[in-house]
Amino acid sequence: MNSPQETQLSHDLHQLASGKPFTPDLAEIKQLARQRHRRGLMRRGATAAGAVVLAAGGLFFGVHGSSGDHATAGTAVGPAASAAPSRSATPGATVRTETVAYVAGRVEAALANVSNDIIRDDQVQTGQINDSGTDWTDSRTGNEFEILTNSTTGKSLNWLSTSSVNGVLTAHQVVAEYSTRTWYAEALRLTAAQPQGSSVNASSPVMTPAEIKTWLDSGKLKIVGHQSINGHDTIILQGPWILGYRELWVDSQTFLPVRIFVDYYANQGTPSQDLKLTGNLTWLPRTESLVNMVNHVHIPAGFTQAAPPR
Amino acid sequence: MRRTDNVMNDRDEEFGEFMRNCASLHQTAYLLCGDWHLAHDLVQDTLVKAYEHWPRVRQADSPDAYVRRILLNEVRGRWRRRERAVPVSRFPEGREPVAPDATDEITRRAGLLQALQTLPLRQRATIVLRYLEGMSERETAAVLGCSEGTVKSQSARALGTLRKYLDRTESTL
Repeated sequence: MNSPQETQLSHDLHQLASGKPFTPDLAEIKQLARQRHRRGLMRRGATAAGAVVLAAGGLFFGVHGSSGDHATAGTAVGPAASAAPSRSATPGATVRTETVAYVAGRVEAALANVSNDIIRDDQVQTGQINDSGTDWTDSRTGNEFEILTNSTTGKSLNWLSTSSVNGVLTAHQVVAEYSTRTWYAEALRLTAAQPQGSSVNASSPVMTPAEIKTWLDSGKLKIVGHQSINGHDTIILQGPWILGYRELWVDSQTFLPVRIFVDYYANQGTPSQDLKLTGNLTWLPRTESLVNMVNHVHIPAGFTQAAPPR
Repeated sequence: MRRTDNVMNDRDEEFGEFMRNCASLHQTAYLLCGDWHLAHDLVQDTLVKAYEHWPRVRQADSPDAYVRRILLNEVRGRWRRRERAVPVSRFPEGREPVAPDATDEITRRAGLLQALQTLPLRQRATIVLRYLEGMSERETAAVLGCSEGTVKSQSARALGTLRKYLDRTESTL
């Protein structure tokens, strides 16, 4: 095709695409960005719901004793591997021989002793939604309280509780936003009921506890390495999660989970699909002040109620 | 005014200016998907993501290229979710659009739009970026995330396919 033909093509394309003025509205763009941010919150809520399941029943490993064939520490993979080269090497240690079944049993026993604790989760999320926050979850009630700092919407307080009725997970959320000094309450259905025995929907951004159980039952958990956090050696278990993977880091001495890492869209390779969540867990005694903070909504003085954003 | 308010105002001002200069984004989206309404949605989703990541976008070598890459990913995502406005199946083999009147410019261009939609996404994007946006092969390669050689080959294949379709309309191509 010679140059005049290319010129003609260019002319035709311009003619085809002309005549439809487009004037994007910044306010609308910002509003949609806020909605995307809220969907991110729900995604995080589902992740926290998984943490509650871990704490309350030791489900994570109790159902997974059959995975013992994924035996020894393997090659370090994922972003944590690049974050710290010592991931799969404990200085002076002999070859690690833990199996998934062994670690599962120890973690289950450890969780049984902290089933009433308040779980503090210091989270950093990067990718589609860049924010950070500290989340407290009551492992007895499943309620959550979060102080969130988002690069778009600023600081907010979030109270979240979830309930599952006939397999439908619903989130009840109260949000107080400092940027507008308003608060709102809403109920959001996280996912539709799943037929009994249905497989995990691998593309869903959220997972119900039942789906988490299905995920664990898949037998795809494996030990991918070891790494030190604040001087404590941890064992890293990994399994599939949505389109990426999820890791649970457990203290090799206490066998309590100390970190959850989720890469939602690993290996997708596109800038629009890049979402990673790192949560560092601390297991806190159930004090009156913590229980009150997590389970009761406290709207800051001077905030006015607003309708939930649509 | 609090510092965060100032930061947000600066960001909005910058992004607003960027938006005012991206009218061609809508045209590109239309030629990629073949439907104005879908193009509107695609551009809106693209701008939402660009707004969220504005600090990163504005620091890119070419914010325009970065945003067009987001747009392409949006188109690709819709394609995967089978939300194509103009399914390829609308033009089965042997039933390519034929303009009844070769002198009818509108019909000829409609044939071009239909032919464009039958191209694989990367070839379509190559054509649109090069001949609508006027990008060089290097700029097109930057948006598509491929080499200049790939742009050349994709462009040649796309033009060959378009000529096959458009020759039937006895156009000047």
